[in-house]
Amino acid sequence: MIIRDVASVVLLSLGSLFYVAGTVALIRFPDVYARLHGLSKADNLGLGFVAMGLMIRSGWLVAAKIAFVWLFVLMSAAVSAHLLARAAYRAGVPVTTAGGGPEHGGAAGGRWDGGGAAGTRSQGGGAAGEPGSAP
Amino acid sequence: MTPGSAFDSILAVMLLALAWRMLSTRDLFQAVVLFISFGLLLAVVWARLGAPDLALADAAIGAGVTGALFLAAFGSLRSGEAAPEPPESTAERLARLSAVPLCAALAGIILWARAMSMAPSPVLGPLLPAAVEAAAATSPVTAVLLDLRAWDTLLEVAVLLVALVGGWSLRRVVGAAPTAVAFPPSQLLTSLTRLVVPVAVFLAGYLWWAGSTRPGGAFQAGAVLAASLILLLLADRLAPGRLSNTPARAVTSAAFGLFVLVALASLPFGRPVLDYPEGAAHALVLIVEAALTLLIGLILGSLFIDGSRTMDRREDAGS
Repeated sequence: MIIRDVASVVLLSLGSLFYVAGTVALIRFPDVYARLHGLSKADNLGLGFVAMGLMIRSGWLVAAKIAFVWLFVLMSAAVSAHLLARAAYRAGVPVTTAGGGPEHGGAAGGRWDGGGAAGTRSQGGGAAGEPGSAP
Repeated sequence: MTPGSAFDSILAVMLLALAWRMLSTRDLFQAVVLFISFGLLLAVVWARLGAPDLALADAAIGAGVTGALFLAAFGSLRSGEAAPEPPESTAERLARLSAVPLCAALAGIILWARAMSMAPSPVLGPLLPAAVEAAAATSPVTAVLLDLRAWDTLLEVAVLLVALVGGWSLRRVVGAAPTAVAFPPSQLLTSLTRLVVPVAVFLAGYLWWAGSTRPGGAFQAGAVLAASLILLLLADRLAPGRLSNTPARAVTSAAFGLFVLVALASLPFGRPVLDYPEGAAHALVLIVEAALTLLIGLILGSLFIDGSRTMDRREDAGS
């Protein structure tokens, strides 16, 4: 069963790689929307690879349970990311546009997180109390 | 150092680092999120220590429901920063500096008592085979919780009931706000709720049933039930008033009353309280666990909505 072990290790390492990519997205992306986007995609794919790596070395019943776990995490992570982005949008967190420089009408020329003219909502919506920078 | 112990030491260091960061940060939202991750890491630690029941309970209640409670409380605050603290007085400074030596002294006393091999309190280990023989439950955790130490569980649940009443008294406006959320929920959340809540209720039922023979039981099932209640409240599919109206209170009282009834039912037969008759022990444990599941689910769900600011919306009309 050497090929099964090798395949399992390869899949698990691939999954960890995706998790590292998601963490890099969390640290490096400019605002909460980009972070949520990168994190949810990379982490779900990473979990899929980890799940596959574990499934090929388990019996049928355990593999089916792992598959269900992945399915539910996929659903809940997608909805959670959507809800977080929605709450941040309602709270008025500015979306970082592609340029962010003076041509976008902001005095915040050159700031990496300067909100452009597009996509900024100045009205604070629901008083959910969540600040923009999700950790 | 084996890979296992290397992983364990990394876990331990991460736990301490998370705890320190959580306590020292000024941003309350960050503290809440760190608390949730701390709870999840603690669940991994319990799994490493070979205690799956504790891992389940910690992930569901410690990280999940308590995290939701913290977030609901956080939403009720005006600002996201902790209030600036006044400079500490001499007494406070003295207390803070003497904490470490006192804790070290306590630890030393405990270690010395252990080294002197003072007799430990009567352990439950030798009693377990007899409880399993009586077929109360094959899972040792459930056997301890609901057979050998059922009195403790009964009092625990009574304390939870007191917390429930305390939560009800937190609401300043008599009569509940019609919804639990401030603005209409997302369609995605509503769809997810429709999909997940039936599965969660089914899972709670499975955990209740499996608690007799493997990791599971009333507390974990109750936590899953509470999670589905919270999901329903957030998706605006459940009016918060339905968690504290008369039928809900009737169900709560009936569930606790059932536990008390089972506890006292052995008295007329000349046996002590909570002494299950042999042969009926398994069924009685299952019945009591079912009542506990309902109770814990209702209590945790109610605590979530009682701490939420939207319940007092009528008072905030002017502000």
